[in-house]
Amino acid sequence: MSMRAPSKLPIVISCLVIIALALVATGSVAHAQEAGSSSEPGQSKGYDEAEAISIDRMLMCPVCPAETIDQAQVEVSRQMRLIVREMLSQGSSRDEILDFFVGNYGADILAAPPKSGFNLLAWIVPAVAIVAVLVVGFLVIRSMTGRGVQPAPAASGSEEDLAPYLEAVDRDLGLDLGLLATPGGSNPTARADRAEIPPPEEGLSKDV
Amino acid sequence: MLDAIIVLIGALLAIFSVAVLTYPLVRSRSRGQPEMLEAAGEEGLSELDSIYESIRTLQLEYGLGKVGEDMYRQHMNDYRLRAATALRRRDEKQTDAALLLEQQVLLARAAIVDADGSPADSSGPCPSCGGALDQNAAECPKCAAKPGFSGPDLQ
Amino acid sequence: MSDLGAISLWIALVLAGYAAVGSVVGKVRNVPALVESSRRAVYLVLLALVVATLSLVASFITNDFEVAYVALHSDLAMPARFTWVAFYAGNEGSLLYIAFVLAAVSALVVWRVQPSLRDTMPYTTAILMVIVVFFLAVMGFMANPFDKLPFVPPDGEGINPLLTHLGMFFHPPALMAGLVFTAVPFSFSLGSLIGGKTGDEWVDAGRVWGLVAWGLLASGLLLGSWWAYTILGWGGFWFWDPVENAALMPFLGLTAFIHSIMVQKRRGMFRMWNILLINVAFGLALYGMFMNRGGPVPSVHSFGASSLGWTFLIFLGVGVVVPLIVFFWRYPLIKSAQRLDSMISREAAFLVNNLLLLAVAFVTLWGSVYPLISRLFTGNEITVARPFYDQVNGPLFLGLLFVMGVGPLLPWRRTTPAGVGKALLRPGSFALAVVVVLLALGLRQPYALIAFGLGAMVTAGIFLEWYRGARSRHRSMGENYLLAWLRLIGANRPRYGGYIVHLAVVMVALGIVGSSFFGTQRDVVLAPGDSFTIEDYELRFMGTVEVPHSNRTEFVSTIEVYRDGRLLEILYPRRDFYPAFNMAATRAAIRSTPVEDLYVVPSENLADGKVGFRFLVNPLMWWMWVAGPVLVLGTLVALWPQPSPARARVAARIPAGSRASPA
Repeated sequence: MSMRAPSKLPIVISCLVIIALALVATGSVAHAQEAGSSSEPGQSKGYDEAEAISIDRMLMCPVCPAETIDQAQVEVSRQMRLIVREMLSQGSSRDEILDFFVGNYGADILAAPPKSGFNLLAWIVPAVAIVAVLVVGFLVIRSMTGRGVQPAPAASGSEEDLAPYLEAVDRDLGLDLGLLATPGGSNPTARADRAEIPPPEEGLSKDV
Repeated sequence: MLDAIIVLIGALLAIFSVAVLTYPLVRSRSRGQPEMLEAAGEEGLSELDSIYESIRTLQLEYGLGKVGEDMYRQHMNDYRLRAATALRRRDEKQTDAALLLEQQVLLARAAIVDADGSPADSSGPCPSCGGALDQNAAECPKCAAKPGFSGPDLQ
Repeated sequence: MSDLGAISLWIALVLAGYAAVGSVVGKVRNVPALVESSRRAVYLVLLALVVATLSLVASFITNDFEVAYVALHSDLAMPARFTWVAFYAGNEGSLLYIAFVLAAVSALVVWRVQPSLRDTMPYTTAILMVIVVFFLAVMGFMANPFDKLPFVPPDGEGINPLLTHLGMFFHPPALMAGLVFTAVPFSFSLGSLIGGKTGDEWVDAGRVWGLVAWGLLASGLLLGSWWAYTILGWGGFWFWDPVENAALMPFLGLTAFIHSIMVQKRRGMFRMWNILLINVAFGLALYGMFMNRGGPVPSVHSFGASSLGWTFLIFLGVGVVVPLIVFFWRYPLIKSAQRLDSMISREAAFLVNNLLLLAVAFVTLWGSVYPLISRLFTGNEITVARPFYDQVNGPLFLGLLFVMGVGPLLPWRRTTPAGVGKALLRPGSFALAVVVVLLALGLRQPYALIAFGLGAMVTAGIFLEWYRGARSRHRSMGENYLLAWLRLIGANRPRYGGYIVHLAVVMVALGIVGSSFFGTQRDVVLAPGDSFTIEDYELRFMGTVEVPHSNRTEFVSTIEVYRDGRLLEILYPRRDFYPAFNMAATRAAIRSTPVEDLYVVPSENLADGKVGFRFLVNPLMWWMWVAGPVLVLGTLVALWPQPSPARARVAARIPAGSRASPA
């Protein structure tokens, strides 16, 4: 194991966590919607209203633009809602109800593409894209990471040349190199304010 | 009646626009130099700004206990070197820009003198030390003072 | 008055064209006078558009129904204050609004240009003006708001009743302005690139204007959700409609941009990435405008069918391709100043956040165009709506929440795994504690549990840092905690402004998770005197009153809300029928508390006095709307200019008399 191995770990872990989340949640969204408010028992009519609503949300209203029958307030969607409830109380499952509507209206009645045939593409492409993005991101981050600490920026002149400027910087920021050695001795955040005090006039000999 | 007023307002708007637009074209003037100087200074400043900001953030993160002492010192040194380099570069640039400006002003003065035909202070005394000074000299050979810059401006 | 508007529109078009051409020619041929003249043209464009705007407003106020646009979007009964809404209610007026806003912001940008950008400013100006020219040309040739009818109708058609809502006073203008403002950082970036300045010159301006656009888009989106929630009458606030998506995508792009631009500002890194990001954000903004006007997918939010679709599509193509060409032309010059120090650093977290945001944007884009793809290949247009986005984007949003919790804990440059562990310890254990408590309370949805846990982690991380910072100041400088906290924020505005926005995002997440996972919805028909129980509320329907108005009839129902036998509140949900539009607009009555919303909307009034109601109990919705002001506050804090640390000191260091120029 090289020295850098442990530093990769958190990124890898977070990638894994995200992918795991994706897998868990894909199943759980549907599940949770189902369980949404199941604490309340179904109506006396013998079906689970929460299940009915979640089915409503998976069917588009055929006449109104981009609304599910759950939202739309037109007669067709009202009737479709009734059909959903009727079928539920007759014991049909969610898939049977959806199939019934697909049979009557075509696949575009579904609010999400079916996970079969050509339409599987709708689901695969995002998944592939997400994985690709994470992999590329990981590679980019790794390739951008330099080995070890960067040396100071290549100064065009010698250190000596820089000395007066370094002094000016330290004065500008109220940096006290003695203080750097004693952590917690005083509050470093406070120094920003102290630095507001204008430094002495003879700051830079080479200023125009 | 109303129509006439509207057309009048529209025409006025158009004429006003044309006037405003042609004014700088007709009255040619060059005010690029001071801006150039200013830009040279500003450029360095924004780089310096971002390094100073980084140092402040480093101090903050150190104070919050997010950065360990070793790393604090290491990064602080790195930033200080960068800031110093930036400061020096800014100085060099500004000096260059100031020199360029000086030369241009001198040329302009020479041109005015030529146009007038009456050499006002050619080979006159240096305003600084009183020694003899050639017309086109960039600075006095005796005391290195720059003619025409005795004012408070560019010292 | 409308003729004056038409005239000034054409004048503005000519001026903007002059400004675009003049500044480029002046720059390339090195004619400063021409550049200066073009700069003035920008101000004149604004002047001309002010005149055009005022003349349309005047037409509205004087009820000049000879102007087709006025006749279509207002009537005599419309109160004067709705002129503001009617102005941008239709295609033509909204184009004028967009052109006006863009001209105004261009004038501001040109006026307050920072010295480091002066060199490339002519290009930036030209790009902005090209966009203005596009909108003005569309108006002039295809959708002129000042077009006249061949006759003068006695009354107008009236304003769309769905628009007479407080949210509509701010939602469309904020959203449109946000989309347009995206052009500003884009122009800075592209202008600098064309001018050969491939470093950090544009970063400050890009960040500020990117933040402004971001704030406008965010508040526009929230206001739009609020509008949908209170008026569309189905109890939700967002349904992944193509036009909503079109506004969400540039928002996501800008969110990525305002994060990663901080890395460039601080470290001089991600230069290429930022240029690409702002190009993407601008492209998505153009896509948003395209979808809004004659896009291929129908929506409740769009301006109806219009013939402008192709025009906008072409402009979208140009707006995407040209920046890419410039990018590849300048590619050899763009180099990041520094390398990434470590994979565990704030910089890396920003990059992960960027990628996740782009992934969400991509999924959303994919979902919006998939219907067209499926029609192309199978001949059958498949719908992509909420269930798809819930399943695909949901986990990505959780991932974003996770990065939002971890990223701020990491220091800049690098840290050690041990350092991460130490930083994560407290927020992480707080999150775990929250999850355990929720489990004990009987919450079982894994998705919601994760979301609440991550939200707790984000919040804990932020407050912990504030507490530590304030304590440190309190100890060293004797400030009391409140003052110390305020000073701490004041001294680090971009950082803590961002944190405040993060809190707002957590609040929005609370609302979304609460209402999607724990909401209850019931549709019932009640006769006067009936009562109905939902959760622990008992609702008693007392009857409906008809209130006739000049342009509508209001059916106001009275619902008494009881809990534990005690009267809590009387709600008056309404259904307004507009005969002129043959449509009804519902006004939900909402009893909103931080715990949950009780939402009552009459979905139909039956003949025998019965009313079909929709009742909802939406937990935690309140937080979502309160997040709006918090978000704006955070954006303002992040935007508030901080004195430049270097400038003050350099100025102090150089004696006044010896300064080269009066800077």
